[in-house]
Amino acid sequence: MYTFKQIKRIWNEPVLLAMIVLVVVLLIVFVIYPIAMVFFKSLQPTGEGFDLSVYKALFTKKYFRAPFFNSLKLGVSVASVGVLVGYIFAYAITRVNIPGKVFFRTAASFPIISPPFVIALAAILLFGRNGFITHQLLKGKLNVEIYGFWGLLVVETLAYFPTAFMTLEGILQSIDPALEEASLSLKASKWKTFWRVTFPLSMPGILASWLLVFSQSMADFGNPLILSGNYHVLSVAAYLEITGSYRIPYGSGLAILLLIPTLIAFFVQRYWLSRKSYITVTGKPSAMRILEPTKWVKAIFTLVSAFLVGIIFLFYGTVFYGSFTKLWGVDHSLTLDNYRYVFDIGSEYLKDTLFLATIATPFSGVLGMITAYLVARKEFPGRRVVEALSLLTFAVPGTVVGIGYLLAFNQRPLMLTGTALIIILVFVFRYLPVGVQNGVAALYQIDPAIEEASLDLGASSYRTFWKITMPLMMPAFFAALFYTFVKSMTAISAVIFVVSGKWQLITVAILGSVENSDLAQAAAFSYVLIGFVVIAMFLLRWITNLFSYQERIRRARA
Amino acid sequence: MKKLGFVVLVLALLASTAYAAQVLHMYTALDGNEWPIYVRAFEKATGIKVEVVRMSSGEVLARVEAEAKNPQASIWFGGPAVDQIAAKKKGLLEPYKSPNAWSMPLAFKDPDGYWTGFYFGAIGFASNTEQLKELGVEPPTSWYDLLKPEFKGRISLAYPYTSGTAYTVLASLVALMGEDEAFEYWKKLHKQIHHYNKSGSACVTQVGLGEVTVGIAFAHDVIKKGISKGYPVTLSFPKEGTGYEVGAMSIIKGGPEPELAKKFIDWMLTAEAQNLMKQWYRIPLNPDAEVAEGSVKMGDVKVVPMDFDYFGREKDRLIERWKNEIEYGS
Amino acid sequence: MAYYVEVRNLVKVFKSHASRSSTVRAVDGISFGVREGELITLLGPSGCGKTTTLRLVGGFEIPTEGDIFIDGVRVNDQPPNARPTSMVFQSYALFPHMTVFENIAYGLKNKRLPSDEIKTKVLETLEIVGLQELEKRYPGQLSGGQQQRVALARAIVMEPKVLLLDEPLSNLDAKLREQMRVELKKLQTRLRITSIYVTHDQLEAMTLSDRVVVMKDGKIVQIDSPERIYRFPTNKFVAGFIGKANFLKGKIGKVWEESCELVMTNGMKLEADLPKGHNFEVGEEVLIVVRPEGISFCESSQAHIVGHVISRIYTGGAASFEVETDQGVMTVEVTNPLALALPSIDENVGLSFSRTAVAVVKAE
Repeated sequence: MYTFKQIKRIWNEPVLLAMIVLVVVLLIVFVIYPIAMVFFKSLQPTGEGFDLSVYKALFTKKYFRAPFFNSLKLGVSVASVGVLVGYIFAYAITRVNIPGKVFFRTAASFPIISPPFVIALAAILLFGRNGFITHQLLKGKLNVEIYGFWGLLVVETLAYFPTAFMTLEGILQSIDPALEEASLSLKASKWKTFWRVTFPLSMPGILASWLLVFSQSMADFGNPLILSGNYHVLSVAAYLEITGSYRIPYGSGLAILLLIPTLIAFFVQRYWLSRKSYITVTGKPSAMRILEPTKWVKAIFTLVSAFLVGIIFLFYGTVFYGSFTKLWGVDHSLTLDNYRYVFDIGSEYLKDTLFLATIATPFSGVLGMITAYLVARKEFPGRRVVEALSLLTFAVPGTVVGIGYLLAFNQRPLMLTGTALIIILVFVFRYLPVGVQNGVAALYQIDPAIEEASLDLGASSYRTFWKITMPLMMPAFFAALFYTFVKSMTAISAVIFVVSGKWQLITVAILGSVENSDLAQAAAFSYVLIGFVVIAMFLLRWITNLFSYQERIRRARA
Repeated sequence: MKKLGFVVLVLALLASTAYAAQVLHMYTALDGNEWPIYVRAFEKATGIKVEVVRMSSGEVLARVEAEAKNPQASIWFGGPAVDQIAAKKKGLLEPYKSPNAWSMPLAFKDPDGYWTGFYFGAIGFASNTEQLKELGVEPPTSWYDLLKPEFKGRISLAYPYTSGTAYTVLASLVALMGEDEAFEYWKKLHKQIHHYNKSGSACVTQVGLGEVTVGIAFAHDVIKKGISKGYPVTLSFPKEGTGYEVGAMSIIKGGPEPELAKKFIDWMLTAEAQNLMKQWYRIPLNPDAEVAEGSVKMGDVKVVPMDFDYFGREKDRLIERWKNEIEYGS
Repeated sequence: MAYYVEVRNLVKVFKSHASRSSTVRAVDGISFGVREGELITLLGPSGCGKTTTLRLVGGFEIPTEGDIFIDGVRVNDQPPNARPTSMVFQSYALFPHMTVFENIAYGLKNKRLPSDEIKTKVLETLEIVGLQELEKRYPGQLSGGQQQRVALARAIVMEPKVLLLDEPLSNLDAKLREQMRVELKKLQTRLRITSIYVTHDQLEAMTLSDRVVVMKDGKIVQIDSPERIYRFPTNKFVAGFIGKANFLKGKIGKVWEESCELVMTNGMKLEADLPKGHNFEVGEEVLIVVRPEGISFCESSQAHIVGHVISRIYTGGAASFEVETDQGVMTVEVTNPLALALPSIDENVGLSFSRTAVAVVKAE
């Protein structure tokens, strides 16, 4: 009865109905279908009939089993170390009041917006076989093996601890300092207060960020591809299985093995852990009054944070310096040749990457906002499923998506292999979840009464969306645009399966250069990419200033 | 409004890919700096535009297989004949007997015309001369020299399953020693290896930079990427005999422009085109073509006769065995 | 007389948040009517279903059962934008990205009025609510009271057939609330818009309404004018919710058409007024409702009940006492306390009830 009335209402709003149908169809075709194809192919070892022989091989053959356990071991290690580092950093910033918080916070966001393998590149420049530290400074006296587990652990920790940091910063900020003050006034020591009050309250956040970092490490492709050495991980193994040994069923099987733990982590985090949270983040952190810690505590936390940021700067600085050297490890004289190469031979790559990312960005943003609106504001059957689907690509490693697109859009009626469209589609749907999440978060902060007021004042639901909801979602929309653009520019794991000669990407060129030991060239490519990202950031800020109502109000006030 | 825009864009993109007159779509396994030498000359000579995708040889095979229902390219240019034999077996190629394939020895072309050779290359050792001096050893001139304790942890080459070069190394050892003996040998060699690369020629630069002392790669790559660049690199060959490859090209079955692909194959076999290969220190198969100075010739090295057909057929099995016994052995 | 707005047997069932299978009947079969130009208040504690009722009338919720008529037209299937209603939201729901002018003009634009007409109407309305000169400001730049007025202006500019107000004053501080209450009253007297007003504040309900609908647990408990609700509550809940009350046990001694004689447990008798058409019978056990402000101190001999003072709170304009009696603790409020000699703590006192402060409800 109730549902029937709902359907009747939706039926009365054709625009809304069309939107729902559009979103559902797109999600099925471009999210579900490719993943299903991967699964399907892994059950078809000979191209016809179905059997489980692939999975049997994956669990019996050592060269398939090893990557699985390597990935798990690496994921668990990176998640544990990354969360520890992230927690210390977040605690230092929210609870210890270390000097230079803005600076530290900015530095910690570098790894998030830079191309994923810049840190690995830096590690090679510093500690590689011709590394600046290992080779130039220590003259090979210290034998550091950066290729393999330890190198990956360091690099992925640096790359992914910011994720943990940002989650934990939010959690720590939402813990009312009054609780700690209460504990102190009940005569608990500061140490005890931390372990009995602060730490247990941040536990849900710790688990959530652990799972997040775990998934990121599992799904990482760029860093292991150039740094794993003989330590094979699933994402690279699947890639090599498909592009090196062209055994698609086995590559698909490996991709499914990669998918399972990340999916589990995602659903545990989203549907179980989120309910365990003690605190609801209101989005309005109360004005923080924090207890001034002792000088020593402050000094220690400042030093640890400075050390961490120092490493980040060392890594990014090394790549920057490296981009101006003639031949890293041999001839460190400065030159602009690498940049000349990038803008000459590499200009095709630059143009293509920019073009594809620029096309994909608005589509991803708009689709994300529409989906968020439907999910957060409209009642329709299957709403929860649509939400889960739209967030699914978050959990699906790029490798799986890439293989899926390779397999799915290779025959009629969706014959997209080799086109720009397939790359654009990968970008649009891979980064859709961020738009959806930003949009949903923004909508939850907008009082639904505002939209009801518009309806009440005689606007249709279509007009309400464009006149009221969309303008209020603008900040979230632009943030989603920025994210999609940056991620598209720096993407590698999924698109490497669908790039073609006609459409080349900078990231692919960087990987080629690294493989070829043209490290200085790779460094120059990386910094050009970082340059684009920074320009995009300023452009975004400018556009946001131009269109966001909050800015208009701020100006009106001035 | 927005949706309409999306539809228009989709149509435009589809249309733009469908529209392609006088364009040859090519997959090449040649180096990113090498293929333009031939392709640009071909474009100039014929006025045909070539769209090139560069991938490793294995990737080309995977891509061609994946696209079997909807081939995106017409010609597969470069990479060892082995992979193209595999493709022939999978029915992915179209036979073509070029009139310009003269009296080429049978080893350099497919008897049915599924693939045609256009250059010849031999496996050799690249050594860093400065490090050799430090270590006080001579450049290796035997497969067994690589097992010397001085070279422990100082050798690199590629994975046989990601690189045609490394598979050629495996195949030459099997051809030379017999399969079991070859694997016994590689088990010992494995302990000497610093690391494996994904691409075959990467080890040359690594030798040049001193990251490793010895690399195993094709001679032309050693000269091109090592010696000619001024790196302290020297080239040597195993006296027992070494493996070789034939650089091959083939027409992809069902590709969009078979006629243009044939034109390219014909052109690539002319002396005019083959002369260009000296820029890359390759050994041309056209007897009328010039050979670059410092390059090696067929007669310069002792080669083991290799049955490409056999090694093409047995590749999956040999690599499986290699992974089991060498990479994940012990 | 036909009602202008009429709600018949309205039911709204929500899925429970606690468990998937259970449901909550937020509005449980209510019927009431509003006359043209009348302001009625839906009054009740939180969770009584008053806001849901208002949202059903506004079209923001779909009724599970029942019908809503406005001006004779059944509006059940009309979306909010098609109904002749305007709502003032509890949170004001001002569009933060639009100026005051744009906020108020928004609805008129939806009606596609010509822009000079819009301008005239907006400026007129701004004057009505006393917000001239502020039309270029954004909501974020206004005080709470000003935002409140914008929300009101935005609704009344639409000249709705029915104005819906959802706790419009609850976000204001006490002083401002009092001031706005008076202004709303003046405005309503002037404009006579048919209005439904939701509040949990009995003072607001008493001040503003022509009639009050008291709700509890999704049902209507009583509908009447403010005076009569205070004077003749139908049950203990209404008596306790509207105004303060002491409850004493008693029995009906005699009964007439509009009054009765009550017998208290201590044997004392007193007379009380009853509404016409009451159904009390002689000998019936009842609760006697005594309003604290209608109790005065007196000699024990003249008292309805005796006790001793256990607390005394002086608040300037009034003083309140707690007196322990054999019927429990009773509250007594004395206005103009300085004029009287008041008892001190532990003093034994007698209490006498004025007739107008006594009501009778059924024992539960």
